Amino acid sequence: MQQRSFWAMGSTITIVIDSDEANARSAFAGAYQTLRAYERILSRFQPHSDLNALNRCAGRGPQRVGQTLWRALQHALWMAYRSDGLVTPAVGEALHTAGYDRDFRHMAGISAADLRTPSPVPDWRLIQCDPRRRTVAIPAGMRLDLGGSAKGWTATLIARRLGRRYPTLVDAGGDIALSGPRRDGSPWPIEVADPFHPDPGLALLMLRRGGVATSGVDYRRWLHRGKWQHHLIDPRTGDPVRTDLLTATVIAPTLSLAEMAAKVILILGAESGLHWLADQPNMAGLLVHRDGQIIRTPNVDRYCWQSSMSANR
Amino acid sequence: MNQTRKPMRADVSGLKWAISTAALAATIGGWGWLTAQNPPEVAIAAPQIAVQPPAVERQPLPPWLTDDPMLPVLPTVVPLNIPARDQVAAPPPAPAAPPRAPAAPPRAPAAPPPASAAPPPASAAPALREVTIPAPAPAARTRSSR
Repeated sequence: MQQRSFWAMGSTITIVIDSDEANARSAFAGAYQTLRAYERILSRFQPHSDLNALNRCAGRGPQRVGQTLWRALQHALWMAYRSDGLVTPAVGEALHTAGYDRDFRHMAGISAADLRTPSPVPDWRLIQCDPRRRTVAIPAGMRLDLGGSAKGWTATLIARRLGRRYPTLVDAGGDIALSGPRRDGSPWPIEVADPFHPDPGLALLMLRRGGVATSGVDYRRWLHRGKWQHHLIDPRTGDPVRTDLLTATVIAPTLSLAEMAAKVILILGAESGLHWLADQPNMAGLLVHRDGQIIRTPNVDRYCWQSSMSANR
Repeated sequence: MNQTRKPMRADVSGLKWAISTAALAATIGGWGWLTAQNPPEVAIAAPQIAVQPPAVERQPLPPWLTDDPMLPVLPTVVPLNIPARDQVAAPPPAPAAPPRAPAAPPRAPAAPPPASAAPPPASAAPALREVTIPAPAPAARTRSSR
């Protein structure tokens, strides 16, 4: 088992490869370069990124974009469609208004941006894409942010690429993509962190493939003009989401779906979120209420470590 | 000035054509005549194919194929945290019954004890025992985006 950690896309990325081969080093290097290259293209915080170039052309008609930005944007729009617009790439302006205008490492928990009144996020269906010419047109006043969507998409891509040679786990700041079971066919043990206690986990998941993601309002918070803000925007109000949940963890067939579902549940709240999750195929969830109550969907036990077994004496 | 004219050459092209045609006709005709005189003899002889059955030598089967395999006797696997039978401590002896009061009058023959008080039969179902397996170390931790 080999692993490597580094900082990219605003998070700590950890790649675990279940192999003892010395050649795995080149796999780590390739993954690092891919993440760096994609960050240069997809980041909102890099002034010369392709995404910012597109944002600067808002309201100026169709703009031709590169292959990576095109694919990442199509993926984000697909997630917007799946979430009925609750997880949308059109939240860039709302995040900026809330004070999230630079890399979180440089914010030091305080934002000094001008306080403006939030407004509902523009409809993602106003983004016009022409696949034949690979052009994108965004309306005036809209700013795209691919944030977590791009990170999950890239992590899935890397897990799939490395998974052709080695069993791989990619941990993108707590959102985890798996390429398949480990070398001996066993599942990967993944702990669900408890937001109230740093050390003991809430549960130990045993996953062979797919992804698991946790969204929460317990981190990436900052004080903006005396008001606590966080990075999850409710597109219906344009304001950081007000929710009765602290964190939501979702297990899904892919990391991208898990990440989208965790955000939707957090935006909808415990009751509506659980109803929404019940309609999604092949997903399981573990929610932590603000008052400390832990809510599990009935099927989450299928993925949990069974700590005991019965044996005949 | 006397000028000698070169005599005209006779036009013999027709004669050439006639000779060529006659030679060709004679060649083809001769070939045809010869062919008709000496037709090739096609003798189809039936092939003599002798198929001999392969010689199969019946060899006796090796003993490992015919004999019944010996099944290895495996030792009974005992979970590590279940103590062996001889390691289980015997239950502590029941405390001695207090001596009866001497003044107690002799009782009439007592009724048989109720069925629920009877000792369990020897062939009771085996008791279930909880075996705890240590959880594996987590390979990763899912939490809010860090």
